[in-house]
Amino acid sequence: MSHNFLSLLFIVGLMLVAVPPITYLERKVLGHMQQRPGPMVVGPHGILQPLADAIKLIFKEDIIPKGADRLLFMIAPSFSVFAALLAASVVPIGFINAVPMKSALLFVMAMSAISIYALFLAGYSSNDKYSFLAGMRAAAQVLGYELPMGFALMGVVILFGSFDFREIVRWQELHGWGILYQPLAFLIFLIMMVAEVGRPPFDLPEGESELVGGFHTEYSGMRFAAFFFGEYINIIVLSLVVSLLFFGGWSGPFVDKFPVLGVIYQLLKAGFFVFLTFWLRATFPRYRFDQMLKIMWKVFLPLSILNLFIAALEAYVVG
Amino acid sequence: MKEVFFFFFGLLSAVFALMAVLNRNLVKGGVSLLASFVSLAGVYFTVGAEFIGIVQVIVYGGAIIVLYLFALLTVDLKSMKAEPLRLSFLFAGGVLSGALFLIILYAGFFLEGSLSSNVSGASDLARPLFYRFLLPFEVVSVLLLVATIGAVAVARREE
Repeated sequence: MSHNFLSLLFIVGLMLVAVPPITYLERKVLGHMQQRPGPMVVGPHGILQPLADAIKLIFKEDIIPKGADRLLFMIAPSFSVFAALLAASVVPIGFINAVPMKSALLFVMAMSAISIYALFLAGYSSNDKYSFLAGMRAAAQVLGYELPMGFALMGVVILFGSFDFREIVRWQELHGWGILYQPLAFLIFLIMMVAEVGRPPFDLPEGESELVGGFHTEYSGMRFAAFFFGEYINIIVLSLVVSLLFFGGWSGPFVDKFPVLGVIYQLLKAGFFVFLTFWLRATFPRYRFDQMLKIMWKVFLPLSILNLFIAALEAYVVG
Repeated sequence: MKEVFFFFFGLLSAVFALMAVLNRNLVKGGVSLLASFVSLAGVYFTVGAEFIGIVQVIVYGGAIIVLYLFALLTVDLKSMKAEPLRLSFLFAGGVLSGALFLIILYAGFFLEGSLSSNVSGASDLARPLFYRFLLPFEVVSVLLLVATIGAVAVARREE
């Protein structure tokens, strides 16, 4: 009981503490990829920038526009943070497993399904055309990515024979990393993960490069920040999931003797995928609405179903 | 302790379901319905059926309600007029919901069972579904296919 509680505290704390440095890193990485220094003013190399951002966001006035649906407008950001933190609670990091659950992978999927309501309701309740359209784009994006993502995960689950992350890692310790068996599922899941957290090239709900932002146009202060807290926590959680499903999670040399090494391995593996989302953001332009739906439904959905057959064959041969 | 959560989520689910029906704003009604479904998932969790609870959230929360709301927002709600209330509709709806209510009441009073289930993981559900009840399962899937094709046919006729 107390071990679980400490783990929960650790994971929630980690998620909340990790977000500000990640925003700093993102801006630095983006900056250097675009041959500019990134934040440089606050502190040496701008290292205190997240702190300055936090202070700014906390002291900003919380504006609720006239004609907005007050209740929905106020609760919309909480969907984002709550769902992301709940998803984080079932994901094990090394020996730290806050809520051991048989169907943990599915639980992560369910919470990601819930988190989309944040964007959708924000768009609807703002009483603003730009927000509204962005909310529609968010809903359409869910309808796009959810099926390929589900099918890609089904392939993995058929191979591993379990929804439980501990079982999945144990399987990989015996047979080798999941990516060796399911490269197609890995690729599809990675792309769908980017679509799910709404990062470029699939940042349709947000539309950051446009003159008017997306669903969060009318938000300010901490409510605005809550969306991005949720988004970054989601990135971390899904990166952890990728590391667990395809890269052996906490497995690695000397983990038997020093369990702490497992935590470090896993965080490094997941960290690479967090970095990858920055990289994609610096590299790709955004897909148009219809292009996004077209590739989701006409390319990735058939591929992910094909992958299901491959997985079944592999499970038959290996298991 | 378990019972407290069971009744808490059950009550929550009923309250949100009532809000979903009574709210005049359709989007708010949809969100209340979502809350009702999630509370129902909470009920499943308290009796140990975590797999069904999670699937409940994914299917109803993640797919169906999103689709409803998406469809609601694409049509102009103000231009839509409600069907005039006919006595036959009221009667049919009343009889159906009354029957459902009686069935649930019967189950609640006369079926004995403990607040724990033996369907917690995916395999516990899959085994009966694909071995013992394979035929009903496939029949239901055909029924769903019929509904899908019917929906497409009805939608196309208006063109």
